[in-house]
Amino acid sequence: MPKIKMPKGNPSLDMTPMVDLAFLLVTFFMLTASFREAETVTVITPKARSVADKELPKNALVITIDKDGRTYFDAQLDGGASPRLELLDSISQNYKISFDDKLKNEFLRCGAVGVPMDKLKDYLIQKDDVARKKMNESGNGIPTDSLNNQIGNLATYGMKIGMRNFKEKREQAKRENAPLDKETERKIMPKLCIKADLEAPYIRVKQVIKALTDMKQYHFTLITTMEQS
Amino acid sequence: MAEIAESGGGGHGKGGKKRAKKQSTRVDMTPMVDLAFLLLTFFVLTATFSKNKAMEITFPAPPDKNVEIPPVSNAVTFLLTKDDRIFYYENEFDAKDAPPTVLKEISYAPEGQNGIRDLLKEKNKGAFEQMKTLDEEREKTNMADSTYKKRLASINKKNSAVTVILKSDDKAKYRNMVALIDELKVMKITKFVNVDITMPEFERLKTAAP
Repeated sequence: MPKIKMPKGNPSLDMTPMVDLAFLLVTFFMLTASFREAETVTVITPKARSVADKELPKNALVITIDKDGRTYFDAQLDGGASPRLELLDSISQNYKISFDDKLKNEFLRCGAVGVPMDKLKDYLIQKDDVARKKMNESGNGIPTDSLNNQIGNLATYGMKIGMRNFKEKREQAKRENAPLDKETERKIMPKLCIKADLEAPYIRVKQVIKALTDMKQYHFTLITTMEQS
Repeated sequence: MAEIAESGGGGHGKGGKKRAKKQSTRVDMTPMVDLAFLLLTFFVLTATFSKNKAMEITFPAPPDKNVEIPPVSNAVTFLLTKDDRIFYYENEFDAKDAPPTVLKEISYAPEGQNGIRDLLKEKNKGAFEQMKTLDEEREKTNMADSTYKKRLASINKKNSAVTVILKSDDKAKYRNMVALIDELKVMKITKFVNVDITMPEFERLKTAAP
């Protein structure tokens, strides 16, 4: 029987196209990836169909309600660090707490806060986000009852700062003879967002809404996930 | 894979003849490719394509104490409860000269299956027809967006438009509320309010959904 002759050529394969493609994909995914910031609270938002073209507001005060009904507050207002510092100033004035520069810096990067204001100082002293998360989860979040309506107060302070900045921006645009059109105005106006977990008890969400309407805030943005149809 | 053809320099012989150096310049790219695929896998797996979207909603301000509230004529009250169940009744609860209100169960079923959407469509018929003519008019006459919105709002303010009232017991989830508001948004219903449940309603809901 004759032996099968093995071909003697080089068995290497030209992989250039494959590698090209791989790098193309790597580049694509790297550039489109937007990393979530470290969050002290994670929620899964409910799905909705009617929101196809509604982008999330960039200039926002976010009230988060987690699946156990705890309330968190976060200011993500336009204008860098100053609105957040101003908010902390309002807090320290109204709740008679003083913060040193170190704590102020901590407040700038601590994300959503889920403790009553009298514990805020303790909260900011905590060394990392893990400890903060633990502290958030040991309590009931920011109080919403009508006698101690902290969430309503925070929203009011935040909206005041946001609206003032918004009006300044609008005035400035007018001075420069390029007044903002309605669409842009709507986009940069500060918004009060409610970001609740789909499992959150409705009754808690209702309490939060009540706390906010008590403070004359009637317009909300619910954060949802778009439903694929 | 990648070769760089190198024409040999140097090697000046006696007669000044240039002789090409025959040396392979192949670089082993396996580690790089490994890394590329590793990164690719990482980014593919961590990529999230579902984007959060905003749903805007306005709640009514509490009524002025000096103003008398007109009785609601065309209202549906939805009662949310546990296990994503939803009940409703029309107009007033236990109205005078009428038999006690019976809570009817309803589902979030799509159109044509007697779900919420069909109910609201039926209840909002008057306003719905006006919206339809408005839409037709808009298509014909190139109506400005602001005019369209104004006209739409005025239709929604009329008495023929349905008022949706949302109540719930303590076991309903937030997603039930979003599902309901979503339906309202799709149907362009803007008269919406959430109020506390009353004791008789709570009791009847308890018997309906034990």
